[in-house]
Amino acid sequence: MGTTDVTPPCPKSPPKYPDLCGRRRLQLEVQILNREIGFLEEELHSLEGVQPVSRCCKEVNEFIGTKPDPIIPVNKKRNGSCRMWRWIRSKICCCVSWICCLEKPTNCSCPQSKNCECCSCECSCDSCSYPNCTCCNSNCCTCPEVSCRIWSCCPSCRSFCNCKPNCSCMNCKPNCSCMNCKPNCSCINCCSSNCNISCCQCRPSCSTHCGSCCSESCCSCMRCSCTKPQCFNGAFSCFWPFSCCCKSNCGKSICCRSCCVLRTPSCPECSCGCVWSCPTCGDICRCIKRNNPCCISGCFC
Amino acid sequence: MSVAELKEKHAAATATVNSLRERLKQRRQLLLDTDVATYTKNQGRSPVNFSATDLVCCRTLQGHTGKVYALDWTPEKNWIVSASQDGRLIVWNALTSQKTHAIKLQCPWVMTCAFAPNGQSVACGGLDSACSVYTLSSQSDRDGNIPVSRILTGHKGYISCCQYVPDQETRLITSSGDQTCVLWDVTTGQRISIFGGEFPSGHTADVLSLSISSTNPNMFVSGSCDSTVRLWDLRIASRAVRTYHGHDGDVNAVRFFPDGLRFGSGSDDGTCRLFDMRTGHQLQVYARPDRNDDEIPTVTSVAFSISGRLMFAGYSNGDCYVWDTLIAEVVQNLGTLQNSHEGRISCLGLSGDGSALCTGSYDKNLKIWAFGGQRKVI
Repeated sequence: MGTTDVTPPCPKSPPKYPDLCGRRRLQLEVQILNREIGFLEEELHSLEGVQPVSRCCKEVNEFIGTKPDPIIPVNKKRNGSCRMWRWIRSKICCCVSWICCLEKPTNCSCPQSKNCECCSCECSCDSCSYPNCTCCNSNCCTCPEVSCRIWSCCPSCRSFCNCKPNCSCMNCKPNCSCMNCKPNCSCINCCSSNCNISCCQCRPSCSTHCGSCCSESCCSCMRCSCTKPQCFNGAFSCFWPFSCCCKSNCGKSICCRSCCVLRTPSCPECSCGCVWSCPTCGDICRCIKRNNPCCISGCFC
Repeated sequence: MSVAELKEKHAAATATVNSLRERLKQRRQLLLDTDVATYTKNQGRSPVNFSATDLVCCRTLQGHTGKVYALDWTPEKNWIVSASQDGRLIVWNALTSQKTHAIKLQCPWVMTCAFAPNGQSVACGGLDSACSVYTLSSQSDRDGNIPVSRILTGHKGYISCCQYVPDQETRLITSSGDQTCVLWDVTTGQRISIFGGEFPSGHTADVLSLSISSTNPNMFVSGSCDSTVRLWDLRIASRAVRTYHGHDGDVNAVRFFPDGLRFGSGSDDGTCRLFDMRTGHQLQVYARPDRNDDEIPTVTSVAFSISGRLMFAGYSNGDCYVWDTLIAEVVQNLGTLQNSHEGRISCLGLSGDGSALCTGSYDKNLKIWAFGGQRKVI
């Protein structure tokens, strides 16, 4: 994209030591060496009484594990006593949670609870939006199948659904009251009466000139760019990587008009005007009458 | 003093320097009673166990038309800024893969980029020897481009790396091919301090990378073509606090360990190393298991997981090793997974909450990797 025809700037050379000949150069070098000697002696002195490497290794070993790491798999074995209690519980078909929760896995930070799930609580989970997950507390849950996380969301969610801890994936729809749950919300739907304004974060109106069209969290609209348009054989699509000119989400067509020049059709029953009002204006509007020669030019609805 | 006497002094000083360096090396060797891997294995630790589907590529961010050279995450929101050979910065919403901004740069030869702590500005630099700052909320010009807010000029060489001081939108540090690092006041565009330069205790070759400690933002480390890493205190620009020797080639990448007291480095010698900031000890060497003297892939980038247990290292051959920091073994190679990059890994970084890794490559793409497995009690 344009780098081949641009001459790279020639950065200035790094500073060189003054080009002093003979005596002055030697004096400077001796100064530099004496300074280096000072630094080295200081460093040698500082090593007196410094702890050996093993002590540092101990600190590293102790530090790692103090923080939960969301990117590391954790498979933890139940301890023997908890397995036994769970077996007993399954046989007598009642919850003996006070027995069950006497012994918790060592890494479990679940509070004491009557919920037997706490015994097997995998407390490294920090988001629990799968509908059937059982939460021990706001940060801890056991999910029957998956541990729902911000990146690998519940199966019922869209892959890009940013479900908050208390928002079930089922709520990730236009009527959702959760924030940021509608990455593909079009500006039209975003500002409709059915949509809670706190959900969509939609701007009430798109700008009338090239610029950002919509709220990034609501619309898939890209920044409009009307520069360097390339119209191919009368096509109405402005071919530019980041242009949203011809996407209906913008709701504004001024950008496209100034981009391209459309060929005026000669067929009376076809009109280029409809392409601007076409709600699904895309690169090509499909013409009902496909056999019509006007439609071959690809600009009619 | 005559020239002959000066020459004698020069020879004597050189001999003293060499002798002191040798004594330092021997003294450090005496303190090197173990390394991290040996110590932790003796403590009974076993490697992290990754299955093939535990780390998966969740997103591929496509849009650059040239090699990706650098990337940076916002500290809190899941936004990424990337810099590419195509002369653009792109700001991504990593969750939705949407591009929120595409900034055409005045100088297309960009090498580095960084997000401001508040996520409202981005900075970049490259062969123009200047660091440009863009405010994302600025009104675009007639061409749809965001105008530059500030240009930081003063370096006499290319800008290799830039990073904002944590929690300070007005302070930024750059590293340069002119062998120095500079602390800038972004508001005024003035240099506050210059680290290194004509007098030693500074690097003696191009500085390629820098990392600021998150626990003590007054401290940062820089990696250089002189094969060393140096520790700097923002309050003392006159000399480096410490110099870390060990690598046998250019140090391309440095990154602080999550505790802020250790840091990792990656080099042209193909190894990553873990150093202790305060003592200067080299704690561990991470050498590729397939080490072949004929062709050693160089390390281009390093990052640590939020706990420090994993170290991610990008290599020039497209590998992206996941090292178990404690055991010093490779537990996964993202370069061999499904949907992996098709070219050199040039940059990588963890999200603020540590739940995702972003890699950038010469294949023009960025990829987001996250834990895709199941956590269950067995």
